[in-house]
Amino acid sequence: MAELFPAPRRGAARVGDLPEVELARRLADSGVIVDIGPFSIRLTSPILDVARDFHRMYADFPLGDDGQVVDVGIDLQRPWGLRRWWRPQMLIAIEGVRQFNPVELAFGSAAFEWAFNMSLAARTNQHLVVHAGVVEKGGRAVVLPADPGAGKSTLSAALMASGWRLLSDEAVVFAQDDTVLSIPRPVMLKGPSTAMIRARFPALEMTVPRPAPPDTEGPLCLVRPSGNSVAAAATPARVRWVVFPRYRSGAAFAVQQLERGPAFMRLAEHTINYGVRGLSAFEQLGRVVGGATCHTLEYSVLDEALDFFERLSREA
Amino acid sequence: MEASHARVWRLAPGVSLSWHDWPPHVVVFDAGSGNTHLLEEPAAQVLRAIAARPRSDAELLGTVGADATDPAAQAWLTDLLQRFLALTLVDG
Repeated sequence: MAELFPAPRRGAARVGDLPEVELARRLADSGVIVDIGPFSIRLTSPILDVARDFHRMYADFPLGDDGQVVDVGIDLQRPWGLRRWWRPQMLIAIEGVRQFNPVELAFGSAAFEWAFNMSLAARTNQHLVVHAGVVEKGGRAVVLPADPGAGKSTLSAALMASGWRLLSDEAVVFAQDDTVLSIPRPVMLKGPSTAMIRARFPALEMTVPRPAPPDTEGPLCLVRPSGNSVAAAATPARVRWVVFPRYRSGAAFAVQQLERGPAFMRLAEHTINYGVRGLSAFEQLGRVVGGATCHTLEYSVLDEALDFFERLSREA
Repeated sequence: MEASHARVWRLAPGVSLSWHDWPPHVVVFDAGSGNTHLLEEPAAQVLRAIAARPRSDAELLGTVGADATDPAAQAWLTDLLQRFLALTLVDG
């Protein structure tokens, strides 16, 4: 995957420019290449639900050229055999290599997002990659590292809907100059946060609720990234804040500033390839933390958390 | 650790340390093991002193301004060096 990448081609066709039927035909045939920030991905799938979700969620993304080199090829296919009729499933393959066991067909294009996440984790070791959300306002980014279920995707979606630019809800990918590359993919919400975000931000475009994997409570939805997030995908951002969020039902709103040493250790725990990158990861993460103000945030009322981020954005 | 007063402490073979100083903490990375450690400043001073050259207990207590005859200071250093030993950062 390239360190330097061209700005999106002006006037290039976007996924949403294709009629849904034509997109579905191309996906089922030789696949569709889409430029997602610095990465070019080819998705191939004959599954209509996948095409429908992809058409809505990736509408603003530029289509790649058929002949261009792609970073990753992802295939979502129906398995053969009678079982496909009484237990509909799909197979996920990355670069032609099958991943996982078959997953429920009803997961739709969420399977594409999982495959993309796997690709990022396994094929991006030239970059430091942190498992976190990241949004930006005024050229300054806030990184949201959190354990699964702590609410980073919920916050990322809510901040995007409140005027912040989404760079990612899942992975912070650092360039060599310590800026964050933008990969503004759909935000994946799970469980009660799907209803919370739908109710609070009804203008956000979301997929229909889909059944969640067995380890997840409640339904699963994708939220379409904002048009300005996708349009600015070639614009990196510099980290100004690191906030470790934690949603806890009924919790009183609480923010604490975190010393840089403990913040570094917590951020390192969320760094996917810290061990692989060794000393360079230690040094780069040190520069990032050294230039940031770090906080912990616990909340149960979304608007109180959003007010906190608004106050942050007004800091000098 | 009674005998530790006579010991000389040095970095363990293969240990190569890099540092981030953020008072009141120091984060240290050992390229030999790939491990990262969060230290309080006095503990980091002791490890830095050992990294500079082999040191006795008395010298190490001197680096943090402690009285080498103070039992509390000796106990603190003994505990710290045991931790560094367990992390394979030092030999002594």
